[in-house]
Amino acid sequence: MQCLNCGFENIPGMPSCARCQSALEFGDVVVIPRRASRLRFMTRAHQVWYQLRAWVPSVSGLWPPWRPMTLLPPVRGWWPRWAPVTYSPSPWGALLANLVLPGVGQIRQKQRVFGYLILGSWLACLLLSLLTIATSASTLWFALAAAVHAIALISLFMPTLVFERVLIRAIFGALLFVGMQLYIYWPLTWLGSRFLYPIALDNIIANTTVENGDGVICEGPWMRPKTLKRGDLVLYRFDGMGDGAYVVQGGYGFDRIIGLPGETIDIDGPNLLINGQPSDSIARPLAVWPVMESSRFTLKSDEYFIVPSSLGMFTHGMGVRPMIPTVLLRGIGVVHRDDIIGRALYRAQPWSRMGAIR
Amino acid sequence: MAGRFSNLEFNEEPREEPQLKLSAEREHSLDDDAAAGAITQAMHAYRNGRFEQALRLYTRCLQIDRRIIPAWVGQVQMLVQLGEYHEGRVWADKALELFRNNGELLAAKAQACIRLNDFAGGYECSDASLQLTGSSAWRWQVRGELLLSNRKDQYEMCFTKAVAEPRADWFDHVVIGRIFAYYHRAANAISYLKKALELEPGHAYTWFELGECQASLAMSAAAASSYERALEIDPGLREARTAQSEIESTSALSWLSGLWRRWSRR
Repeated sequence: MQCLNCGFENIPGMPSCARCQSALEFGDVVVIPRRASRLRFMTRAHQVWYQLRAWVPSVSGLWPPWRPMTLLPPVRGWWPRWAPVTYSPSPWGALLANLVLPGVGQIRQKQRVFGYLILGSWLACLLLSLLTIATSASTLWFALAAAVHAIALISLFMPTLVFERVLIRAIFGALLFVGMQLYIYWPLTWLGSRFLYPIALDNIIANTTVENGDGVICEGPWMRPKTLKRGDLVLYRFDGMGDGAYVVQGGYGFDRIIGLPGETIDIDGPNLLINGQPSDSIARPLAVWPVMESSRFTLKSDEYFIVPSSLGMFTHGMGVRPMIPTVLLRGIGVVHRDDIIGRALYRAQPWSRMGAIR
Repeated sequence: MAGRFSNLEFNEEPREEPQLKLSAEREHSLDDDAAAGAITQAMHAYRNGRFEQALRLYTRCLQIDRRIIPAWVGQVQMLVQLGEYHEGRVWADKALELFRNNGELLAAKAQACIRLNDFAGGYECSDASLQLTGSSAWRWQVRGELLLSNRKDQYEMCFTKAVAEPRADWFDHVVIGRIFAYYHRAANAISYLKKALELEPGHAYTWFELGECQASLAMSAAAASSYERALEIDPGLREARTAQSEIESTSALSWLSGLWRRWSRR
């Protein structure tokens, strides 16, 4: 009987081929294959199992347990298997792509899973930074996005770096991260702040418009109109000042414009006159009128007058509302046009009161 | 076989032998025809993407004659094409118990292992299939798939060897195209499908598969043209008709994702 598998001529009656052991008699061999369930459970389970088996030895072999961790001895071949290494001799195209959009370089180099992971993480960090804008958490998420971006770039150098000492790799990574912050993220942040300026309002006196801790988005210097109007709610910058009796910490103020360039401001006790007219009928500050020392001054052509009604004042750590002396009014209240960052546009935090500021 | 032992004395009546021999031969011939018919129909169904039907026909072929190795191979291939990778591997093991060290069955088992992410098993079976005597396009196609799934650049060489086999035909290009399509390498799939269509321009399902790959890369006009060509050849091809109407109402999001896939060299 000829074997159908290898063609060997066997003696009749033999159950299997003498050469290849294939069956010669099939009898009642079942020929209908067992089918999968609708969910393909066994197939999916095996796929996950084999994938895990591929990952686990790499992770457990990350560092030999008998070898103490030091910075000096080189560690060769350390790279988790799930993050494939490209052995392309010159990944400059991928590097350029990664500079613009992290993860894209890896995708173009066929490391799709890793690339999409990087891209997704980076976008998620940026989205979280946007959602928490005007809070300190936003800065952290932004820094994390920069770190993910650095990882995307570093991974392209892994074929070279994998043979370097850990210290060298750490220094390279730190330099790359700092370089990215200096030459990509900070310039982009600076450029963004020229248009929109987010700020968290701290130590602000209670008022009907904003509350302490609100995150506000203001116009940036490049979006601010050339001339501002009376009553505009603006964010402005002022320098620190002080003498033996008081200290003013430089920073940002947030209040309404009361006096326009060229106008004469007369302060007499609780009254404030603008060009001889009572200011109450024209404009009001953000919070209640503070008590101000009597004084008179004329604004220059590039100066605005803002009553610092919303700034917090403290004596021995306790909030107070003293009379504002003239020197403080001139130092903080008279604001140069270039020190005004822009008008308040939008309240971003908290989400319960998110909306345009009117 | 009967001729060798015809001179032995077993007290049999020689006069009845020729009649029995004739009817056995006649039955065998009928069985051969039926099995050949079933396997031809199965191949036809496989080429037209009707994997379930092909599986049933291969099974019918084996019910007629269990010794037809290509039908066993075909069953494993169809189980893999239907996404039943575990069952395909189990069936390949069963077939290998009957036909030890068969290169085609080992290659089919290798494909099932690859699709299960068992690359170690895939390498083992693929190495074994290539080391055995004989060669076929199928063994090289599976080898190419193994290297492709492991992101090794030598996969192209394996596919080139597959189509250069003496018994390779136009459909081997389609098989390679389907492998690329499985791994979302639509651009590579398109090049092989086009080569298949140069050799066999009258196969409607291949035109449909080409259209699918083109549609996944946001090449809407080219895809529509491919679907139209498929319907010209086979107006009853339901898949092409459905795909043609879908491509006319492609959303911007799917178009953008197709552009992304084209740009990221899929």
